[in-house]
This record gives sequence, structure tokens and C-alpha cells, in this order.
Amino acid sequence: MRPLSGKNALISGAANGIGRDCAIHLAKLGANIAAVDRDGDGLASLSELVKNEGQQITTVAGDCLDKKVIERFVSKTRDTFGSFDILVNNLGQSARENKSEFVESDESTWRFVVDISLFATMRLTRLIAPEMKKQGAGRIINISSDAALVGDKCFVDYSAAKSGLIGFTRSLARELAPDGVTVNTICFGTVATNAHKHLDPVVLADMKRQVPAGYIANAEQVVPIIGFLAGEGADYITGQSIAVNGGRWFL
Amino acid sequence: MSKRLENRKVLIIGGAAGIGLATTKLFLQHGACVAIADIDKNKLEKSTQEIKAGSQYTNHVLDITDIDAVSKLVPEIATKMSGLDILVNCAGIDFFGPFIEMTPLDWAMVMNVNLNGPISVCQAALPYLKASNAAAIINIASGAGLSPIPNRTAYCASKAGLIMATKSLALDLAAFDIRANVVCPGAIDTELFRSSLGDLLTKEDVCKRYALGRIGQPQDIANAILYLASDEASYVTGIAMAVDGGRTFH
Repeated sequence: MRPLSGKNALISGAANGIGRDCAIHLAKLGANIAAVDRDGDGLASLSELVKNEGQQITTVAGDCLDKKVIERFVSKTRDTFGSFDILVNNLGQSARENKSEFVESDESTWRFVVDISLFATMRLTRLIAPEMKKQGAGRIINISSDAALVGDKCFVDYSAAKSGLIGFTRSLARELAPDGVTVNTICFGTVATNAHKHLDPVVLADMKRQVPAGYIANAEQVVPIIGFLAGEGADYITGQSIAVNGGRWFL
Repeated sequence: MSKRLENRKVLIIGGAAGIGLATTKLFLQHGACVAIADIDKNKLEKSTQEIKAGSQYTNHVLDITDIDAVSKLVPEIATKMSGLDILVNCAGIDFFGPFIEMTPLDWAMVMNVNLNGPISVCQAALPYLKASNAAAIINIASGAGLSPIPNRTAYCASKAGLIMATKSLALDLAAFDIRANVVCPGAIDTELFRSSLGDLLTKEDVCKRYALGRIGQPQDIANAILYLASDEASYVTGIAMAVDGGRTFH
């Protein structure tokens, strides 16, 4: 029997990057997958991969800024699987092309970044946590970033939202501990994505220089921590922030 | 169950009891070659009988505060195993009481066992870890090194020292592809823990410190050590992983 056999895992922002590799990893460990993302094509190709691992998958394509999308995701997952064992709040986004130094930033950008990187997680968790509490078991894993720790320039809104996740985790961990639900945060460092292929080599070299391990990991190399925290081996871990970042920040 | 440490060569200091013994058993199940070293000869014999391991296991008597003994035995073990991939430093002592009554000798003893000892072993193991292509150091500190508990100034300081020493090693040894991480257990149901309760504190009192309302089992810590030792943690270095049922919120 695989370590997560019979478990149902919900993952937000699962079509690409860390969310996608997380879904595949948890499926390999035997979990059924519920995935939500804006990218419907990405969800379709993910579905094939999860099914290839012999696991079931249910998906909702939609924007998690829309509360109705989150509600639909939860109800569809309930109808398909019946219960929620693992929730991976992976969704989040920096200001990307709108990023700027704080002194030049706009409130509309902050609102978008905090909404997608913190509030969407709180909204989804608000729907799932009561049921985990009722069943007396559950794992909530919030994906933060070393942006919350390092304080990179031009990421004020993103750093604030990702630090917010750490506080959210600690407080919620205390509330849910008596009912056997653990809540933890993972702070991932930069992970290699397709976008890196188009990055200025000087910028990429500088990113690598900041990492003692000397390289930027692929998503596949970092997601096993999620399997560890979701599994039986991590029964006694709650309220913690765990860094997976090649040593960029020593937490 | 897939084996996650197939043929990895492992040295576990303090491997004859508690967290060290649980780790030794788990690592053997996962296909590792394990050498354990412990100060207590009787416990070594008892645990060796309990483990019933074959040729992939050896045991050795070692006092880690004896630097000469460390610098002699660690190379002997590594040579015998034809290398060393993973070092787990589990040995430690508790010490408690009012600060005003602590003597300089008490302080020195705690520092020698909990901080200087593991660092001596890391240094002796370094040439062999450098030669490995899957090198990992896992030191066992304590949640008390992240957030203090009452009447344990020396203990808390020694564990905080081990946490920072491990982070420094992570930074300095990354160039040799050696990862270094530290696990910070909360109270764990071991003989050491039971002996440390004293007259005034009950197990129930201690349980109240933890959000999950219970103390941990050696297996809880062994599982975390396995994760950090395995390829699953290939990008994890310099972290202090608290496994403490929710106390430090690190």
C-alpha cells in the first residue's frame, strides 16, 4: 500500500509549476487529487498524468479570485471524493509585470497580490477546515516563499502576503490542534520554470549566487516535503515554517 | 515500501537508545548500512540484540567528549564501511535546576556533550562526507534551542549553539555538496525525558505545553531524520525543523 492510499488532496493553482509537480507527487504516493486553476488546458494535461499514476482526479477551471469558483471547487470535490484529507494552498502570484518599488506602487496592485496570495487561501481553508475539524484529522499545507523571509526588493506586496500566510498558519495550527488537524507552511525558494529560459543570463547567475547549494532546483526536486508533511511521518509537526531553498535563508 | 537509503553508509551517534535507536531501526529498514556509537556499553548490547541486524550493522563504544577517541574511531568506522554518506548526531544530555545553583563544571559538561561533542564528530567525519555524492549531516538539537523552557539555561544555550553551528556548516559545506540540517524535537517519550521530569513536573504538565496536547514518540523524530537524510530533501539545507507538536511555531 502506498503511503497516501485512500487520501483525498485538494491543491490550488495546480496546473503549472510547484502545484502541478505537487499533484503528481501526491498521486504517486497514492492520493486522489482535486485541482483548481485558471489554466484549463494545464488541468487537462495534469489529469492524464494523475490517471497514469492510477489515481482519480477532479478539476475546476476558474479564477480563485471569484468566491463562486472556490465554492464550486469544494462542492465538486465533496461530491466526487466525499471527504477532504489534505489541503495544499499553493495559489499565489506576485505583481509580475506590474511590480515596482513600493514608493511607486499602486494600491490596486497590492490588492490583487494580497487577494490571490493570501485571501484566496483563507477563503478556501474557511470551507475545508470545519470539515477536517469535524472528522478529527486533516493536513493543511500553505505554500509560502522565501520572499516572506528574505525581503526582496520590489516584492513588498508579495512578501507581505506570504508573511501573512506564516501568521495564518501559526494561529490556525493552535486552533485546530485539539482536533488532530496539523497546519504548516513551506517557504520555497525560487524554482526553475519555463520563464527562466527567457531571463537575462546575468539575472539568472545572480539568482544562483544567492543560493549556497549553487543551483536553482526544479519543482520536482522540492515537492517531496509536501508528501512528507501530508503523510503519517509528520503527525507531530504543526505550526511550523519549513524552508526548502538550497540554503538561501536559514530558518 | 520502497527503500529510501539503499546502501547509504550511516553513522548514528547516540544510536543505542531513544531517538537514536528508533532512527537506527528505521534506517536499517530502508536499506542503509548503519554504524552506531554510544557511550553506554550495556545499552549498546541490549539494542544490538533488539535490532537483530545482519552484516549491515556495527556498534561501537564512544564518548564524544573525548576528542582523541572521536578522531580515532570516526575514521575507523568510515574506513570499515568504505565511506560515509550520512552522519546523525543524536547524543545529548539534559540538565536542569535553578541557574543560581549551576556550577561552571555543570555548564561545561552540558556544552561538551550537547555542542562540542557533535561538532567534533562533524569535523572528524568531514573528509569522508566530502568524498560522498549524497552527503548529509543531521544534528538533533531541541525545541529548547529555539524557544526556552524553564530552569535549563545551559541546556537551551547548548542546543541553540548546535542549531547555529549546523546552519554555519550548511553555508560553508554547500560548496562540497554536503547538506546540513538540524531537527528540534519537543519532549519525546524516552528514558532521558522520563528521568528529566523531576519531582515537581508531571507528564501531563509537559503535555500542556504542546498544541497537540501530547508528547512525541522517538519514531516521530526518526521520520523527520529519514526525510532530511534522503534524496527527497536534496534541496534542503540549513534548516531547523521543529518536530514538537506545536510549541515553538518556528
